This record gives sequence, structure tokens and C-alpha cells, in this order.
Amino acid sequence: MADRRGDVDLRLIDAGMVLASELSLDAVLSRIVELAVELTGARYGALGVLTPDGSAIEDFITVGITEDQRASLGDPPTGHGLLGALINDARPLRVPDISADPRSVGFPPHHPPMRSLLGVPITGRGRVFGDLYLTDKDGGEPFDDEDERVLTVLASQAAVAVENARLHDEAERSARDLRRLEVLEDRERIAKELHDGVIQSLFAVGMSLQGLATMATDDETTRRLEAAVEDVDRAIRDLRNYIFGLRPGVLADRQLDQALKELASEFGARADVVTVVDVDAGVASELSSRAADVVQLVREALSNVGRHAAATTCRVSLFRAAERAILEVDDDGRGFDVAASTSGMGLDNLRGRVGSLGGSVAIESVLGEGTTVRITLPL
Amino acid sequence: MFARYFVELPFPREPIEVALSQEPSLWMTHLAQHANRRGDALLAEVGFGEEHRIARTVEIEFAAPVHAESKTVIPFRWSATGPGGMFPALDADLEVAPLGAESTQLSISARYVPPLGKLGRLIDRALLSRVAEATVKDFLDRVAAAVTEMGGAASAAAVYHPSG
Repeated sequence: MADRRGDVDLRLIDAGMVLASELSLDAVLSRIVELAVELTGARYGALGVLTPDGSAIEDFITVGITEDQRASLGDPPTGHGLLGALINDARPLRVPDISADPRSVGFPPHHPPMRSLLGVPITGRGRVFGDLYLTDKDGGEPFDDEDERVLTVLASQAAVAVENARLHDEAERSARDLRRLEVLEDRERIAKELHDGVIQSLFAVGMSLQGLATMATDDETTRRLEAAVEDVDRAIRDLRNYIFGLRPGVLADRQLDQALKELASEFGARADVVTVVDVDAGVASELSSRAADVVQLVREALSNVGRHAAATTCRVSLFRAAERAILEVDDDGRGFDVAASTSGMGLDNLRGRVGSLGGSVAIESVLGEGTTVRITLPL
Repeated sequence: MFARYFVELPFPREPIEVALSQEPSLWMTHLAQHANRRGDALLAEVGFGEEHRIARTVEIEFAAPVHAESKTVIPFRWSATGPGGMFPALDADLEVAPLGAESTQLSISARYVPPLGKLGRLIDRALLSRVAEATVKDFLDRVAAAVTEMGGAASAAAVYHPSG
């Protein structure tokens, strides 16, 4: 007996060292159950992690049950019957015959048969973190005093290991947050320097070139200077996008092509219509001053697709033709009789908005094949 | 195209920033009687001229201010609510920068795309750039007046310096 106890105590010390070496909470929890099974010779082991208020089990880690068995059992236990008895009375619990205990509520279908039970709480910092459960000792004997002692010692080591792992997780999270904050602060600083320095300089260059363009006497020089002004303008726009893109809620100078992609993606997800976007970035850039209107046009056209077309696919295209911007929204839906369409189909708004932009709308639709809304805008 | 304009206000940076840090609809009401809300944007009138004022209602969106040691920047954009006509869509930064302890520069650095496409670009030099510049100047003058009034410093008349 003394030899057995001495051997177990040595293994408990080893177990404590093993647990102390684990820093991940998940790994610690699994290791605790494995060690409990090893030290006591139990066939099955489990660790029930309790909810913060300690009233129920929120996580249940097992050893001895296969993945298939666990899947066939359905939802993990939440803390009824004998498991609940240990939750309600946080003292070691030994039951020689589970089925004969009046507190038992029985096993769910497909649960492997289990007879004897030993459970101890894992307590740290004055609160019960979880409970360790072992069932069916090798040889079929019930769990004895020595098993209870071993499991109680292991539970106290487990409590320390759990606390360590939690602190480690918290420290890692804090370090990650700190790094994120440092990166954000760094980006913020760079953004301010860009705005104070680079954008101001580019702006000054742009104004100078603009002034030169007004003084130039030949068309080619004027054209080149204006092209340079546009390049500078584009560079400033990109920098502003970078700077203010860091800040939530900023809409200034959002690029049209990006806005159309976001809109299509949002529509595709909401309406369950596969939506693709094909945008000529150059045309989008030239329409940037009317970006809000173009986005609204596409929104209205997509809204019509969602409400009336019963389509499975849809495409939004923006391209150039004959020095004009062509915005097309076409779908493979049920189509409709354009001549018989009513204002209730949302086309009046579309026509009104396009008209205000100096453009025109053409709608082609074939019953059973789909609809194409083609909007032509001046560039 | 670019436009820049600034005014000097004879009081420190802080009260100006305090005024401008309020909900824009509060100080935008000083800019246009019709200032109103539409979604996340404000509807306001911009234009130029006193007796024969040429003006349009635009939708203005303000972004969160960016505070730096040397200045505070409030990005904004406006676009015409109906047919654009001669009023360009505009992306701009409203900047508040101290000029010593007792005076502050309020400026606008704006970029705009001339309306009416290629035709607009052709006539921009002759006309539309002046429309844009006049509109920006008018807008900033009104912001300055509003800020002066809100800062309780109405007696301190602003000294204007068009930058060209």
C-alpha cells in the first residue's frame, strides 16, 4: 500500500509539472482529464467546465469515448442528475452504482454503459471552475479513498494550471491588443504626416500646374499640363482614401468601382442572386464626381431585379463606348413586357435620375430570358 | 481641378475647433436657411453673389475630424442634389491651424471635377473654375462668420485674405 501510494505521489508530482508546462487553456483541460484517467485507472474521464455563475456545464471534455460515440450522444450534458449533484454540492462524490443512485437521471441513447463514479470539484480563487468525473475503474471495482485522494490532489493542481493558462491567455490577448494599438497609432501618425506634408505639397504642385495650364498658348502644352493636374489629383485622392479610410464612417472620396463591388456583393448575399461586377476603372474614375448618383442608379436597378426578376444571376457592367459611359445591369430572370410596364416597377425613378445626369436609359427584356437595363451617361 | 482659400480669424484655435466639433447641422444652419438632414448627409445651399445670388442645394457629408498637433482637418464632400449644372462635385478639407496664440487660419483645400465632362473641362478655365472658386470662398466666408458668432467673438471682425 505504501509503495503504491509513494508511486502515485511521484506520478502526481509529475502530473503537476506536466500541467504547469501547458500554457494553452484548451490543452490544459484535455491534459487534466488524461492524467486523471491514467492516475486512477478509470476507463472514462470527463471535465465539465461550469458557466461563470457556476450553475451549469458549458463545456464538456472527455477521454475514453470515441468521436463517433460522442457524435451519436447528441448534445453534451449540461449538469443534471449526478453531474448536477456535484455542481450543487462542491464536495467529492463517490457512487458505486450509478443506475442505483436516486439522483441519477439515466443515460441518453447510445451512451456506453457506466457503473461506478468518482467526481471532484476543481476550485480556484474561491470559486468552482469545473468538475472532474471518472467512471468505471479497471477491474470493475468501485473507486476507493485513495482514488479520491489522488483526484482531489490532481484537481488542486489543475486549478492552479487553469489559472495560469487563463492568465497566459489574457496576457497574450493584451499583448495582441497592444500590438494592434501600436500599429493603429503608427498608421495614424503616418496618415497625419502624409496629410501635413505630402498632400500639401502635391496640392501646391497641382495648383501651380493648373495656373500654368491657364497661361499656356498652345493646345498640346495645355493638354499635357491638364493631364499632369489629373495625375496629381489622382495621387491626392489615393492618399486621402488611405488616410480617411482608417476612420469608420468616412465617405469622402470613396472610389466608385469599390462602392459598386460592395453594393453587388451585398445585393448578391441578400437576394441570393449570383452577382458579378465588371467595371472599367478609368470610366469609374471619370464618373467619380457623380459616384453617389451612379451607385444609387445601380442600387435601384438591383432592387428591381430583386423584387421582380426572380433571377439566379445578375451582372453589373461599367464600360466606355463612343466616349460615353455605359452602365448595364442585366439578369437572367423572368423578363417582362417593357411596353406594358407600369410606374410601380421602379423604372420612373431610374429614368428621372438618369435624366438629371444628362443621360438616357434603354431597357430590353425578353419574357423567360431576362432583362438588360442600359444607362448611357456623358463623360 | 484645385481650389484653395483661407481666412484669418483673430482668436485662438481652440474656440474655433470647439465650434466646428459640434454636430455640423448646428453650424451649417448659419450657412443656409434650408440646411436640413437627409440620411447621413446634410442638405445645404452653396453658391456666390449677394444681390444676384447664384446658388444650388447640395448634399454635404462630413467625415470625422482628424486632429494633429499643427492643425485639425475636417474632410467633407458635396454633390448637387439634382442636375449638376455648373456646380461641381467637390472633395475638400476644412482646416483649422493656429497662427500664433491669438489668431487662427481657417482654410479649405478643395478638389473638384468640372461638370459637363469634356465640355466642362474645355470651359473650366474660362468660367467653371471661377464658379468653383467663388463658391468655395463664399462657403468658407460663411463658415468663418458662423464660427465667429458661435465663439462669442462677433466683435472680432475677421480679416480676409484671398489666396488666389
